[in-house]
Amino acid sequence: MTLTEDDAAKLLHSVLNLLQLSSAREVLDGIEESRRLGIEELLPEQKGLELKQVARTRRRPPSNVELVHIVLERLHQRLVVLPTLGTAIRTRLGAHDVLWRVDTEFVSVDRFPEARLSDLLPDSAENLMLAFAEIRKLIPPQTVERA
Amino acid sequence: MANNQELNELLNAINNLLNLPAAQQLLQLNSNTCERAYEAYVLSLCVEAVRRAGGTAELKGILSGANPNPVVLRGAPGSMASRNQNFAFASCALRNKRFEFHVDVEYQGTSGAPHEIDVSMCDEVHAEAVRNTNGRPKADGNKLLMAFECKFYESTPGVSLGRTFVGLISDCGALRLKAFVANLTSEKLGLYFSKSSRPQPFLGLIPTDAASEERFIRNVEQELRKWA
Repeated sequence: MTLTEDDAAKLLHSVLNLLQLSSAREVLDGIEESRRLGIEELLPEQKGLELKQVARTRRRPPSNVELVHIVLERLHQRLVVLPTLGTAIRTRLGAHDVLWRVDTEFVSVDRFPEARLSDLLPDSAENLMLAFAEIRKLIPPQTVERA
Repeated sequence: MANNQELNELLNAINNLLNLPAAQQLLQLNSNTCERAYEAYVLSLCVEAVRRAGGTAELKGILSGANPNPVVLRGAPGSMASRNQNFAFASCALRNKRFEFHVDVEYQGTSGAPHEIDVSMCDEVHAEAVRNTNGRPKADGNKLLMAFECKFYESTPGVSLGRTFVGLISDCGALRLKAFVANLTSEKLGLYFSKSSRPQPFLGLIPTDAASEERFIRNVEQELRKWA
């Protein structure tokens, strides 16, 4: 499937709304941060003395199509990669459960709440991989982040 | 150009993914937890490298000793000597060398300034001295042996963390391995680390990319073999 900028704009509007409804605040923050950081690109080939004096790269805002790919990559990291991290930790460390706790003498638990390995391993996590694979069949990955 | 039917299909597929109960749990996860999990993952790869090199590695809790259950890892940088929780580390042996891998421990740099290292390999005798004296480990000599900066990026990677790690490493002694490890690839970071004497980059290291894991484990394993 080849997306136009208009297609991508409609898609982004819907997906960002869905993420908001899911209270995926930090995922949305990450997407916004990526938009702010923009896309690094090489300057087109040109002749001229001035061009020799400047760096050959510049930063520009991502297009809607590029932003769709960025959003999909973020969803892949959150929904596919995170559970596999959990499985890898459990297998390699031979630890059924891992807790992340802070030294309460120095750090507030409010800021760093206790977390468990099982938080990364929700029931039926394998369904996430299957559902994401369906998306990738429709829109294959594209490298947009030169950054 | 996508037609309306294709676009709806894609939107439905994304909708199906986001509405799965498992997705809801993961979407609301605190990003600190993702970061901590990534550090634990890198620790687990280091343990794998020790075993592949022919060594042994077992988890120990500072209070309970071998095979703690549950395994408690630091959720924020802290003291190696802290007994506030049963913090765990990997106790390792390879030939006649004994060493430990720690997560999120503060070291004292050669300047005297403290530095937080996400995953570190420390000489066992030194780590024991730190625990016995309630002191802070040093990042010089043969005490701190390897240092890994780990980052689970949720936005486009910039170079700022790489720059910070280069500064941190310059305040440490000669390390066997210094590496910047991240879940995403980044040309910018790759370029930054391409200069000689900079930390080695392992970008795009994730369990779903077996080649990336293999490359990391082999590098750690080779350094361990050369050292021991």
